[in-house]
Amino acid sequence: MSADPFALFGLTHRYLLDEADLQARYHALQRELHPDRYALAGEAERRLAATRAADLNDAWRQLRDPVARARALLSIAGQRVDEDGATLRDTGFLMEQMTLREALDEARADALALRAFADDLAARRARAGEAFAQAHARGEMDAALRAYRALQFLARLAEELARAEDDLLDGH
Amino acid sequence: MTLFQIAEPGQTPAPHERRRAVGIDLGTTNSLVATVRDGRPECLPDADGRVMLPSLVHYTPEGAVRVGEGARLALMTDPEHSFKSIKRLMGRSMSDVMQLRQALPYRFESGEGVPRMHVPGGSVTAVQVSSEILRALRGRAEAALGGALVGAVITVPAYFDEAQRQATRDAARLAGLHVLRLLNEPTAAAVAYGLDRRDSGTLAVFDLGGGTFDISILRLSRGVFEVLATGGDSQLGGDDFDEAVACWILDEAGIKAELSTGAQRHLQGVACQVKERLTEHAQAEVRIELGREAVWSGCLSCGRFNELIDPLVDRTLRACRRALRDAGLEAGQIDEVVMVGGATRVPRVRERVAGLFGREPLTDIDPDRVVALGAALQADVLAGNKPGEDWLLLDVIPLSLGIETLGGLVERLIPRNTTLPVARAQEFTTFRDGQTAMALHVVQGERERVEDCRSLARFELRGIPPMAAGAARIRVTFQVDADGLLTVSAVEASTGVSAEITVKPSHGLAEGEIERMLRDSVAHAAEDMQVRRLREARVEGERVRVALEAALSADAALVGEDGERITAARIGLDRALAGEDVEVLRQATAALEQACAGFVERRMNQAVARAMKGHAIDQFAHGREED
Repeated sequence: MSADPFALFGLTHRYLLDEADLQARYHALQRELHPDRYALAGEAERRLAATRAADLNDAWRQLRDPVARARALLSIAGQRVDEDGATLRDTGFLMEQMTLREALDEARADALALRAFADDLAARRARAGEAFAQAHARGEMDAALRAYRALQFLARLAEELARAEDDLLDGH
Repeated sequence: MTLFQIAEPGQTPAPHERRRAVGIDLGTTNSLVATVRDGRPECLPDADGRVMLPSLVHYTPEGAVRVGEGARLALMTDPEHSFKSIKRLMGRSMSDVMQLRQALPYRFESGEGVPRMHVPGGSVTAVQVSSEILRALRGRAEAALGGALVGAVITVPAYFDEAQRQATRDAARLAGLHVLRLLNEPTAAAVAYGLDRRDSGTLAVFDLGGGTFDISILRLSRGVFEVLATGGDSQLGGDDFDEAVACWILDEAGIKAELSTGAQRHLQGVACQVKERLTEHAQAEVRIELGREAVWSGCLSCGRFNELIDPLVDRTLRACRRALRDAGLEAGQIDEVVMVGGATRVPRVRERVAGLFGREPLTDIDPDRVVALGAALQADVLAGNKPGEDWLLLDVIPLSLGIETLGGLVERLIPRNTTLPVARAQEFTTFRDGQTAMALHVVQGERERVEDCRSLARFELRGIPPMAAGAARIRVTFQVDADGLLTVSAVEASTGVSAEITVKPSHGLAEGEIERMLRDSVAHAAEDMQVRRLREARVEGERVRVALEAALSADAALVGEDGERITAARIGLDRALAGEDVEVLRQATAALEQACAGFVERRMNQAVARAMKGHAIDQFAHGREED
């Protein structure tokens, strides 16, 4: 539950992160904070280590997740990211959402079509991420919020896709 | 940098300074204890040279407790008071037991909560029965190592839920063992295998024991073992293969009548032998005596045996596919497959696992010993015996944790496969004016409805400051530690007042019950309760003092203004340690911990800063060696 996951990892506030570097930092920090390092310490110290390690894991979760990372950056920049009516006014975005949902429904029963949909979705998520990174770096908060909502929607769609893939696998 | 690793890298503590620590595989069928000697893990044998202790416990009519081989005969002669596969009952409720009951010859006492089984002179719980096994292993280890243990790593199936883990920890406490870590069995196996092999890659650990099945997908990178996903079935194991064979025998022999308990156990024994024979032979003769001179004989072919067990093997493979999906990997991306558990000796299991992953699984470490050996290696690290060349095990929570909301639905707080330890806070509010108490029901599982998940505990919060309805903001923090055990704390956010919490475990033992069992257990361990309390308080006090000394010699500069307070508290603890008053000792320990709180925190901050040194801000990891 750290307020600024970037600070704990010694990172500046930027969206695009190098995965290998992030993991190396995570492991280095876990080596210091994991409760196993305090297996023979007294009760109070073990508890403190557990709390710090839990904070670390939470920061790591936020930094790895494209949506949570964007949300953390917006919140650090003082932006409110609660759900609001903004999405409803953006008709272009709404149209895109509908089209994508329909495409997923059509692909549902067909493994190849699902694969193609997954590739397309991955590309869209990468583009939305880049859009967020650019807007955030330039301090264009409206654009960043728009990109954030796109990221959020695409992540939900990815969850639905995973469920569809599960259903298809379980059906066999 | 830990408080204990003050020796420079490469400088091992002198032999007399090595701390006696063991790894214990508390298995459904057999249990083992292992330790590291001369840098190598080894299983410790009993006086007769056997390393496997059958997980059997017999409570004799005379009131004695026999553990292991000595209890085997009683399975037939006194089945009601001799316990096998007790692990299956750990952390289980009476209603769980009712579902299994057909196969269980014990006499359960009526009543809610933790199942209690009748034994001569009283009743016991699964925790107590398991503690007898642990006590026997502890005795074996202390005899072999020549003194008291600093602690033990005890392994549990990765799929064990919180109640089952808590039960295991309670059993250790009853047996007088300090638990350094509850380690997942597959992770322990990966440690036993992974070290001398590749230094990075992905592993699948397929663990089919007597009564439980686990699959874990791990990533190893430069000394960090990270569990990516875990899955399995805590009610599936080699015993079920025996059961399938036993059913086949009954079918073939045309036996429809209900068998006596003794005859049932005889049948199970025969079925198990048939299974074992089929690991090396194409067929097995079956000869079984079923009461009054009734003898049946027949022959089971390997092919027929495979058909009998295939539905069970299918279940394990389904769990493997699910774990792979959770880890985001394809079967072909797994670099090594490790086999653990006696039931993986069955050729059909090996064949089908190889088929799924497209590679031959590793079987060169004895599948019965590999978990205990890995646990011993981890115990050695946790005891601080391996400064400079240690590794880190990052486990995950196997099942999602949630709370009950309106309409009997589950709100998920911590999704499964989240790396441990983890903490999540959730805010609640009151719905009545002046409300000072509230109740939370915590469950574990993947389903949406409360009744489809496992109930873990009900937490009652009291002492909430009275306010208007909806004005109180109660922040409840759910913390799951590295062992997979849950603690809950609650604070009213606007006033900062902590709520008192009472835990009512759904299947586990309440705190007072453990205390009572401790008293009962010392009655037959011929040790005075007061003596035991004093010993436990001394051990904890020593731990804090030794930790402080190590910390001071490493980072005296960080003591700052706390120096005088720490010194005073330290003298107080030394004095209490020399005395015999448990309460004084506990208070002195707590006082020293409190005096050191700032110092300890500064050391952790420094450790974090040091960890990030060499990772300049935003310096990317280019130029590292390739994975």
